[in-house]
Amino acid sequence: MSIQSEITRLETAKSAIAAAIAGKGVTVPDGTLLDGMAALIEAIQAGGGGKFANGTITPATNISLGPGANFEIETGFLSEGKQVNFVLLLLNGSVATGRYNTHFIGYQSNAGKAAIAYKTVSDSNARYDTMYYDTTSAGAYFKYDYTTGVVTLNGKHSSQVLNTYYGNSIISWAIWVD
Amino acid sequence: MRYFAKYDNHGVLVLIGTGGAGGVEITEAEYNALLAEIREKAALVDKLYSGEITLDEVPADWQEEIQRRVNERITADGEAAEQPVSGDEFLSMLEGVL
Repeated sequence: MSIQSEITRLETAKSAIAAAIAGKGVTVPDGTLLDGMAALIEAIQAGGGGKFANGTITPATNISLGPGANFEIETGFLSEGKQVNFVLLLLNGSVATGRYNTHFIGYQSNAGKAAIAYKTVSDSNARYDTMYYDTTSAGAYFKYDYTTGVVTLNGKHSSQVLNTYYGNSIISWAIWVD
Repeated sequence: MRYFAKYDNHGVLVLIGTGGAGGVEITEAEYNALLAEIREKAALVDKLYSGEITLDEVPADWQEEIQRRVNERITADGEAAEQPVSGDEFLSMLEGVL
């Protein structure tokens, strides 16, 4: 695993997300970065028959996404076994210092692996890690249970924390079937 | 829009959210009030951490929580400083993607 390969995978995931949004009838302007994807997802018209759901989560205390955390997002979305698309965007912006911006974005379809990746940036450090839709990936995974509508995140490192240190940590999520 | 709150086994607020399912459903006004409190506490943590304020300037019933979160942040900063990745180089690479 190299930094370049991980960046390439992030680029691929970002392109896939943009394509999925465009496939739902929302134009994705050229040059749109991950920061702009959540707003475009919000613009997707909800289909009939419960084909789309979205929501947000704001922590009041630090929430671990590390190994064994099994952080759950109750989407209430039941796909009845149909392939789903799931996007998770985490924004963690510092209120005062502008440091430690964390972006956590993922795209997944039942057909195969996809990555949820995050980066944490400070004045002097940067780190990133990924969760895979793969329960065999060294204990790091995310999964969607179509019978309960629950998305579970189980991270790879203890450093993966949805924290409230630096301001407003917000998860925006969206899930839909084609 | 649906608004909800989740609490731990001790009745401490863990998170608030919109949409989805689960948690305790609350009104929009309750949600906004909790959101304002979450943001205010986060701001106090930041100010206490940076030395802009002292603990005495934090509301008394929040002091224990704010101090604990500052201590956690100090610990986290120490852990971040141990990462081997070069931050500037990685940041410049990632910003082109993100």
